Formats: sequence, structure tokens, C-alpha cells
Amino acid sequence: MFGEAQMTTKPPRRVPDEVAATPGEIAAAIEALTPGDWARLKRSADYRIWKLGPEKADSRTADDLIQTALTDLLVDTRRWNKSKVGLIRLLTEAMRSISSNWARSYKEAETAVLEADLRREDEEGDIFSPLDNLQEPGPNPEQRLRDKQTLELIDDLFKDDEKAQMVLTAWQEGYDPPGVREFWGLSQNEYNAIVRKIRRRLGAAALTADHDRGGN
Amino acid sequence: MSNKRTDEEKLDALIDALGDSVLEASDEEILEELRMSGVDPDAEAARLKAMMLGTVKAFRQRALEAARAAYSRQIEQMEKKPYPIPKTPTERRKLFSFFAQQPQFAEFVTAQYRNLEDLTDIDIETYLEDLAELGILEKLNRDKSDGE
Repeated sequence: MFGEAQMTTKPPRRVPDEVAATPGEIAAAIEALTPGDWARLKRSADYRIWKLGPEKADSRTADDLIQTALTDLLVDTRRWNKSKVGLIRLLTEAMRSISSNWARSYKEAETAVLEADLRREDEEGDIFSPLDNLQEPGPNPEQRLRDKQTLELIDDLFKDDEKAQMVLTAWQEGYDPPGVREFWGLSQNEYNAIVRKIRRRLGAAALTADHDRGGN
Repeated sequence: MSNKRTDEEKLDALIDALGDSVLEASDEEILEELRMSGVDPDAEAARLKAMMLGTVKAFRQRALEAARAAYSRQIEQMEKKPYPIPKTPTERRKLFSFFAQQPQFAEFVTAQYRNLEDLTDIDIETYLEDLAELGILEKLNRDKSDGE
């Protein structure tokens, strides 16, 4: 069955000065992004904002998330080693970390704890924060209710699709794509088709609903 | 399947998986999905590109302006700073002559400064100010006092 997710703590290793991309190199990489890259960036930001919900996002949009990730890069909070990771992968990982910090800040604001943003990324492009090892306060009842309702909404969207439910359940348990395929005995093509269907249905339903309430 | 995860953890994992799947999707797939959710991919790409390049440009301008301001402050400080050099051209020329004759400072006196008669008063004043800025004039005065 599904095993426990492995938690590891890596020591922070900054990308060395000599290989960190300059603002000029970042601009050149932005210029070179393909239409597919822009779509991936947009979609990744949408998912993160959608997950945050209106309370934790606190009026911040997908654009704000993208801009924060870029600004982190420009002001050297985060560094990019071009030879190790692409710009889109770097930005999406940055957005994952930033949105997680926004969620954490929201929780901690409730207990009046001031949090300094200490997020950094190591040489491999993985995100590290000294706060990662601290025990987080749990979600409040409203957040728990919202998380439950969101999961129910997703469940409802795929109630007539057993295979999509299989994949979604495995994802929720932290399984990676090879793990999901192996567990449910799915071929690569089957898995890809199911994932496409999940993204399309969610894109049409949940993300559209998010736009209606003020997201980008 | 395990039920130990909280709903929050399940949602986090689901969004992570969705995000990863977006990165693995082909251009055709992801562009089509964007269209299906009512977004024009070309217009959105152009908008995001302009937004991000604008951010980089603003950052670079700010960095340039900060460097320019720091340089201006430095120049201003240098201009305001009173240098301990003689007030009259004759006294300055005399001090420079003394300086040029000191073997310990020979490395500071380039060929063009060795012929005192060819130097204008402004040349000498500027040179002495540079020496004062470097702390050499102070050392020269100290040596001179010690010698006396």
C-alpha cells in the first residue's frame, strides 16, 4: 500500500555567485520562453492561488505570485543556476514555496506571530527555509471546512470516472507518477490520458470558478 | 489506502501533482487546455511577458539609479572635504617640490610630474588633493615633523 512520505532536511547550499544568473540573463531567458512555457507558468500559478483560496491568498493573484517569484530572483533571495534547471521549473518551484509561505503567514497571523521570510533555494534549485523544520500551526476550522469542501468538489467532478478517482486518490496520498502507474497497473499512455482529463475538467470547473471570484 | 493525511495535506499533494503534470505536458496539450478554460494563450503569453520584462527593467533601472546616487554622494563628499594643502600656489608648489624629492615617495611621482616648471598651479593643486585623499600628504607632513 501507500508508504509514508519521506521527509528529508537538506543543508542550504546557495548557488555560487559566479554561476547565478544576472538580471540580463533572466531577461534573455524570459524573451526566449515558448507559448507552451507561458501556458505552463500561468497554469502553475493558477493552481497555487486556487489551493490558497481567497482567505490565504488575501487578494493576491496568480500575477502577484509570478511577480514575487521573479522579484525573489532579481533581488537575490533566490538564485538560478541556468545549467541545472530551466526558468519555468525554477519559477514553479519558487511559486510553490512562496504560496506555502503565504499560507503559513496567514496561519501565524492568526496567532499574532510575526514571520520573517527566510526562504532560500539551494544549489540544486530546491527550496529551503529555516522555518521548514518548525511545527506549523494547524488550519483553523474554516480552513479545514474549505479544504474538505474543495476535495468534495473535486470528488464530485469525477464521480463518474473511476480511473480519474484512482489517480486523484493516489496523488492525494503523495504518490509520484511512476508510483501511481505501478500501483494501479496503468500504462504511460493511459496515465497521461487520465491526467489530461483531470486537468481539463478542473480547468473548466474549479479554475474558472476562481476567476469569477477575482483571480487571474 | 492510507487515511492518515489531513485534507490540507491531500490538497497540497494533489496541487503538487497537478503542477508537476503541467510541466510534463506537451505544448499542444497545455495550450489546448488553456483555450478550453477560456484563456487566449497568445494574448496571455504576451501579457505575462510584458509584465515580467517590465519588472526586470524596473529592477535594473533601480539598481542603476542606486549606483549613480552612491557615486554622486561619494563625489559630493570628496568635493566638500577640506584638504590640508597650502592656500597659495607658491606654497603648494614648494610642498610639491619637497614631496617629489623624497625617495620614499618616488613611486608616486610619474615622469610627467618630475619637471616642476611644466606643471600648472591647477596640476599641482589637484595632485596634492589626490595625495591628501590617499593619506600620503599626512604621512609626508608626519615625516617632515619627525625630521625637524
